[in-house]
Amino acid sequence: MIVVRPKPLDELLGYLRGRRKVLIVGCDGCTTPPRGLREAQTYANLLELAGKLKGENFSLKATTLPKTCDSHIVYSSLAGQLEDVEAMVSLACGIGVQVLNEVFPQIQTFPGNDTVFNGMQPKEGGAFEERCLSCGSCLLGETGGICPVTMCAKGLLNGPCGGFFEGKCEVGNWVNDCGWVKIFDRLKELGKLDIFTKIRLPKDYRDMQNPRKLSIAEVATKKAIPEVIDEVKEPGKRPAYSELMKKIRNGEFVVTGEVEPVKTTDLTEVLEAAESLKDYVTAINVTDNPTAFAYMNALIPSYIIQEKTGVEAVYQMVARDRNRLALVSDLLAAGALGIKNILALSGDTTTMGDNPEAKKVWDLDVTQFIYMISKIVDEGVDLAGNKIQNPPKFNVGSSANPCATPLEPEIYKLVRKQNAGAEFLQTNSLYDIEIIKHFLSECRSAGLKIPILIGITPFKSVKMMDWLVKYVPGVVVPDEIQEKLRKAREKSKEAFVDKNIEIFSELCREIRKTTSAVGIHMMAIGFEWVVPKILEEAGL
Amino acid sequence: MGEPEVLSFGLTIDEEACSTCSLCVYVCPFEAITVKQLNDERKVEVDESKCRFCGLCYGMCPLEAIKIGYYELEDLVKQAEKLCTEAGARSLIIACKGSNPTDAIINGRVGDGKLPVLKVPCVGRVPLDFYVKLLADGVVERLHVLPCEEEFCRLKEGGRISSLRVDYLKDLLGELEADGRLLNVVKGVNKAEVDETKCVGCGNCVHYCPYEAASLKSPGIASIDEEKCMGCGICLAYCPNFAITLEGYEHESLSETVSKLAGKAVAAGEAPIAVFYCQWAYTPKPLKENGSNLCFIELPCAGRADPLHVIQALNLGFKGVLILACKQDLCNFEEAGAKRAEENLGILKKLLEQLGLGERVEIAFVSPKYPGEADQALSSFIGKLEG
Repeated sequence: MIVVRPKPLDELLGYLRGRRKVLIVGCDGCTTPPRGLREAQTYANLLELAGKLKGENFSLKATTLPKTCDSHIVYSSLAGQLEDVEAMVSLACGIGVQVLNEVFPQIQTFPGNDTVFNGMQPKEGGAFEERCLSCGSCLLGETGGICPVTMCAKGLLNGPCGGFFEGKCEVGNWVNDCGWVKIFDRLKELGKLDIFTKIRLPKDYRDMQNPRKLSIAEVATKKAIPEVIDEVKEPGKRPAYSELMKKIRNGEFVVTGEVEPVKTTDLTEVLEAAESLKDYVTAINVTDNPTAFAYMNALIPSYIIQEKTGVEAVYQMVARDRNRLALVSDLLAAGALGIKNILALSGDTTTMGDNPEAKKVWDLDVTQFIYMISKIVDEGVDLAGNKIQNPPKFNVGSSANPCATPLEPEIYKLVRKQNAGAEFLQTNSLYDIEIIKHFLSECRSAGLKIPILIGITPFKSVKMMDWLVKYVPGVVVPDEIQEKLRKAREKSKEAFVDKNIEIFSELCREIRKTTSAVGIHMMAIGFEWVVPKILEEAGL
Repeated sequence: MGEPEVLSFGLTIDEEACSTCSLCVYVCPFEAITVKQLNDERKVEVDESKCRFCGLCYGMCPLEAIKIGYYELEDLVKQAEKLCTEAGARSLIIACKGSNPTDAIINGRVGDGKLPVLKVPCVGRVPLDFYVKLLADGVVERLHVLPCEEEFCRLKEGGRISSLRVDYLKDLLGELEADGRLLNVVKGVNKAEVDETKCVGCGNCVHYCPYEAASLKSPGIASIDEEKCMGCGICLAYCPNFAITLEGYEHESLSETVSKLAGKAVAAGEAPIAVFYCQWAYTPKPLKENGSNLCFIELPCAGRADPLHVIQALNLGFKGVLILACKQDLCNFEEAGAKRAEENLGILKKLLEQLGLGERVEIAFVSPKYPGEADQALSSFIGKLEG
């Protein structure tokens, strides 16, 4: 069914101003909730009443059509009823409105509804849910009958992203099910999980090249869906181009830091932060529009940090904002500027950011993005097979979320990232050594071989800690740690910082001593100065 | 206007008169009545929350110990007498509202010309004395009793008990060698049907039927299972093409009623108010006070309240529209009627608010269990419109 939502009356009155004889045309087709004769009559009454109030002298009539998307039917059903009609309001979907305008061009037809989506009605009524985007290449046969294009908030073909907890999606505040967790569960049920670690190639968007037309004689003779491929990148096979990768391969316990360029052209703060980190870290991540806030392009500060401080940058790239053309452009630019590490990420969805109205891109999901970087680096070609002269030399990392629940789909996805050519992983912030150990052992038993750096974020304040614990699902801070920090803060600010240093240096030591993690990724935005103290205390 | 008066439960038991015979306990379809043993005393108690105010206990009590706020025997007799006198008739029809929507339909069912009709919410509550009195006093010579079919009774036992009662009386009259035809019983139902030529196959009736009576078969024609339908009429309020009929409550007849009432009331120069009421939530006072600007339109259930008729009423000059619905937990239709009415009206209100007319339409949830509650809702709505 095509789901529609009635337009505000003011908009309709604006369209009809000054016209007298108006016909309200319902549709008995797939428009939902049904917009047939009853609704047409209701609107005729409503607009007449509105007209009286606004000084318009409408003469309204109501009729309905069996379906408004068929020009032939529209013509034969309506042609006799249009004498003196000055305007029509169609209660059909946007298709119907266009057909009426095309079939009866002498009378302008206005839309009575906004057409919202193609959906279904759950058994418990009162709401409709989107189910099909008419993408032109139906994947349902391979995803257990659950559509990733509509059911995943990002429309990823290789999901899930890291944004799920207890099977719920972070987009829309943990209300909706994560489409990819559902797909995982369904495929598991069907015994088809082997597909889950394979890379599904990007969609061919020519399928959606509008205006689309389809001949009645057209029959598909070859598969149009994006295929999954058996290709697997052997971990450790790509040369270590970056210092970071070299050190990891040499068996060194590494530390990476992180800086965040913000909404400014001034790089002073970012450079200061990098300066304060440079003697303690092997590389510094530069974030790319984190939580979908529009900040400075991360490539520029990545380059400048390398130039000015001599520390290697990890250029973070999210797949949210750029299509594959723009991603290739930026990768080539990064290569030209001497960037050696790329951290490929999905990116938080636009609705969470500072321009929530923005269009989300995700032409590639993160797996496909990693796969494309591998193609560029290893084979010197882009996804379409176009040759790249003097291809860039990158080592590619990505992210992992050990707090995702259920954890299994997350681990499967990480194996898929490895298969696509990811060479290291940085996790999000972790506080509990047991969670870290459990995650690492699950990764190893699933065949994930690439090195993992554990994310550490010291607490800038008790407030920040409370906020994280309360509002960010999956963030587990052991009660013992919380209590220690709270008590210290009651004493003094200094005691709080000291306690932070004590707790997090201990955590770093524990990670180094007792786990297979190859390093620490310190994320202390706005609090970078504490990082050296923690690392010194930890003996790193 | 002060705070509305707190209304009390309309069913009381005169303990002096009560012999604790327990007939009421056995007859109550909702298990709301119990006999409590307190030391040496026995006492009949009514659970207010369980009571649906069907009145079966009232009709059954041999000692007139149960009072139910409205519907006293004397009033009922007076009303019947008045109807007969006015019509100059010697026959009377007493019909349950539940299956008998209009006088014309009722007369059609009886087939004895145009007779006066006394419509009651459940014939089961009418006490034996009523029939005896009318026949004995010679007010009527012939009584037609129209209860619902047993399975169709929305108050579970009303149909069965009224039939038993009338049968008993018939036997009694037979023994007295009175003519058995003095009492004629016509059981009825009023169920929804699909006009297949109009059905567009949208499936709304399937979705909203509280009894799973509606189904949609390929190629997109709905049908309603006669066995399952309880005649609430909710499906009619959702059918986009007026393809469902329910005698007396079709779009055309309700729309016509609205037009007629509007014509009269507007001509009378008053600012009329239309009241669509669920037949189980409210019974307008039979002896109507004149000069009232209230126009009542009966519905089988508030779920049948149709946004189209509400907007039509406003468009024709009604100043306001009030829907009287049952409280959700007292709804006779699987608790769906009041809910659907509220939903549907909520949507219409959102549209009307855009025209600054949101206040003109309201829904109130009332129960005859609390006599005066509907009147309270009415005067509060009138007050708001005037305010």
